[in-house]
Amino acid sequence: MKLQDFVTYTVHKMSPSDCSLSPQRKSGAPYPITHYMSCDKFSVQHCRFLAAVIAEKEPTTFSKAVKDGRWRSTMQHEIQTLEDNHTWTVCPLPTNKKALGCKWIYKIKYHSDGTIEQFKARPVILGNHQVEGIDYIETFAPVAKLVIVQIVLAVVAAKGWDLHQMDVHNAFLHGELQ
Amino acid sequence: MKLLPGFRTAQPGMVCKLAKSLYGLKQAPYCWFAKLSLALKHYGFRQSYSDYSLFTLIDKDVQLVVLVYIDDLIIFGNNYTSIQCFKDYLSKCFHMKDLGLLKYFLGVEVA
Repeated sequence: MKLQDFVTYTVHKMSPSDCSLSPQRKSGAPYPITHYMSCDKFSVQHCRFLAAVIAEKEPTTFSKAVKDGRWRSTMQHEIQTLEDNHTWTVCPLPTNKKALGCKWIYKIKYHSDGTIEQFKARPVILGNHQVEGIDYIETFAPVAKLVIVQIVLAVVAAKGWDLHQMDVHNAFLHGELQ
Repeated sequence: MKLLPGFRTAQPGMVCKLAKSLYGLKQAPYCWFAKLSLALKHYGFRQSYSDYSLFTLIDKDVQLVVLVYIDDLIIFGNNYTSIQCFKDYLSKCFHMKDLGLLKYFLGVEVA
């Protein structure tokens, strides 16, 4: 591999003798990345941040997540939200219909210094299997144009009005299906 | 929708019938906007024709304007108490978080 083709300012090459000392010793990889990567140039804060981010791994499946109590509690909370919202009712599948699949998505949110802000678990539906015309017709939702935002801010500044902002929790869960 | 991983029912072959939209559904943004605009119109707002995400309310000398960006709302008007009144109405309709005076919107810092 020609390293010149890549951004290599953090990379230093070990002499061939160093490399040949430990082929396939630990990870089984003949050329472990640690031989070619160095974090020396990073600031201490950034190293700490990297270490904190790498330390936790987000599970990819439900079966991995249930083993961890922290994920279990956020899932519990999320299910509670959905049930309070009356998102679904359990019923038998009508004949000649297919049910859409669903899965859990897990995400760890970090503060800027690398400490964990929250564990986030979200049930999602596999909307990529939906068929247009049968499962849905319209998907469009308008959003504010930036020019309008600018005009609005200019008008407010000129008139000296108060500007308030509000944010909706779980906005997409509010929508009603027909 | 099939049952979420971790759920089990006594009889096999049960599914979830969705009454409300859920993350991942194609029509989720549409459903949300339809519901929000209905709530705003119910309060007396008129949707602007030049930008459908702009809602205005003019009642005698009170003017209220709401700008919508999916789940972010900017509210302003010439009367503080009517703004507060409208905020209370919205909080009753949806689970809202009042961010107070506007500081950031779509990455634009408001001084």
